[in-house]
Amino acid sequence: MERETAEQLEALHPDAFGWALHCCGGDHSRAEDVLQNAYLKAASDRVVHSGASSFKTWWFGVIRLTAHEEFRRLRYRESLLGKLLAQLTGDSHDPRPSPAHKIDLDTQTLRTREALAQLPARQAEVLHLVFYQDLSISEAATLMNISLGSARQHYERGKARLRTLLQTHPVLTHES
Amino acid sequence: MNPDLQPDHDLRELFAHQRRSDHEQAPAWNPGVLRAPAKHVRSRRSAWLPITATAAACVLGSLFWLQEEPKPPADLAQALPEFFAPQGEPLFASLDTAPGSMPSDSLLPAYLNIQLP
Repeated sequence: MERETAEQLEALHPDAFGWALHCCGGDHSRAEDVLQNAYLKAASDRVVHSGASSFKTWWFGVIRLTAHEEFRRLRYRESLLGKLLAQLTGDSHDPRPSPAHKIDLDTQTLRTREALAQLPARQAEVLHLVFYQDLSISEAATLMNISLGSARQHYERGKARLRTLLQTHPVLTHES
Repeated sequence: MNPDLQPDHDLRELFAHQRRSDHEQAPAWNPGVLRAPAKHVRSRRSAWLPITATAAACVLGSLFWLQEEPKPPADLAQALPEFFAPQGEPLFASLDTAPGSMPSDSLLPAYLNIQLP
């Protein structure tokens, strides 16, 4: 790996973790796994930035794809066949986050996260990318692999819905 | 600054707060991770290798078996025995079929023998 790429990855690391956290529904343990696998992909040159988009857009696309792969793997493990194979091989994996990874978050962060969780996935994604990651709607559309018009629609609807949710439930309790 | 979020100060502050909170919880940067070997890829490759080798061995074995199987002769009519060859004689030729020698009901009592005119 080139030194310049490594430096860019290091600079993006905190935001990349925030994006991985969003892709994993707020699960810290899974977010760390996803980010680790994404770094391994970059280290083994399985993913290479071609320059077609900005480095941040490309890297966040890699993380998003890795999170989807991880989700499919998790769903397979939770399936009957996966559980059977895990029992046969003795590889038991609990998909739930371990108690050590339960993070004490403040009320406002929890409220935002829970409100975002109630939005459709595309709307939550575009809002996170624009407001949290400071990307433009065009960059978010590229990352999400959708058209600009579709991204704008998700953005506008997501904003309106998020405001409604935050006004309806100003303080939400976090049970997990 | 991103021009898309200028009029949405409320949401911007909300996400900025979440961002600060997440950054505090983020794991520390570990440069060693970029030099580590790809664990998942290697395990997948090692799992697929014996499966591919077994499949290839099965295909080669079946091809070899198909080549070794004896082929039937070209002219089956000559190779098979003749089951229904014509004998040249009528069936039951040795039996006497003259009217006087036909079997009669000799075991019946005499009064039951009907004499036809």
